[in-house]
Amino acid sequence: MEKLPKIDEFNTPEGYFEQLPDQILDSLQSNRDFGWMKYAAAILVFLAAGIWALAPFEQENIQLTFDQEVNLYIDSQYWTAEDVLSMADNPNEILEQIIEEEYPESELLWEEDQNWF
Amino acid sequence: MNQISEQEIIQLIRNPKTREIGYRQLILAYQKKVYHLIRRMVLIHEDANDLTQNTFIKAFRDFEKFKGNSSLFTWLYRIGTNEALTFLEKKKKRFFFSIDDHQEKLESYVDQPGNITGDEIQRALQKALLTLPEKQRLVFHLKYQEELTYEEMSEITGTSIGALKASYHHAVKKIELSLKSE
Repeated sequence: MEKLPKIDEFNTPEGYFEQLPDQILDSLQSNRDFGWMKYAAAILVFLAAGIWALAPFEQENIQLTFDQEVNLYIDSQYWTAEDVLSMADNPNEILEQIIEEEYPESELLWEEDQNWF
Repeated sequence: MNQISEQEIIQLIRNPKTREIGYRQLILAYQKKVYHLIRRMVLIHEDANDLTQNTFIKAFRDFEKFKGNSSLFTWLYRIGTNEALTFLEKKKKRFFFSIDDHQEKLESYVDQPGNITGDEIQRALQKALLTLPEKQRLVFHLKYQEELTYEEMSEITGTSIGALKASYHHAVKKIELSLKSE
């Protein structure tokens, strides 16, 4: 092992470390500003769901038909999972959600009983 | 850093009037170390940049939880390494869903000219490191590259010193074997 060199430091874009503190502090500020909006969005979703539940109209049938159509495409293997994801507005979020549901323990990475070998 | 101590940074952050100054001082003190540790794990600058930013934001958000039982550096490294491992774990799970072969992406990143500085030995070493499980790779970096003591590594990873020694030993053996076969 003594013969091996240390790993060289990686290149970074010019001025990266000069700009990084401002970027982090700006992100921190945005997170704070966004904090109250999450609650507002949750209230809006709750209200919208309430209105929709009280007045279902004919949308249910339309939605059901659309879902059936999508399922038909998937069942017949005309669309793959990748096709469906690529058509979504937020494929990454959907994928993360699926992964979290499948592996809810992903945050617990430093458990003592893990195999380190 | 211009030689403001950890204790002074902690005091600056704990005082609401000087908190922003404290945050900036903390970033200035540790940004390079945190970034390079994460970059060694995830290789690609854009990923390392996101994870470094997340590390500091999480540290600020949870600063109340920092009791001062360990050093700020150890605490930041713990958050940073968790960020990197969580990221790599998610990428692996994506591969399970056949969406994204991150391992292949990293290997081709190492092969592309300009991405890895240094000579062929550096490239071979990086490729050998990619063959290790993520946590073993982390142990190797903390010990070989960062030259941390096993006690510090144990604080960062929450793993026993014996397990870390064994893990490092296995990592070194695998790298030597991999380099010999090159």
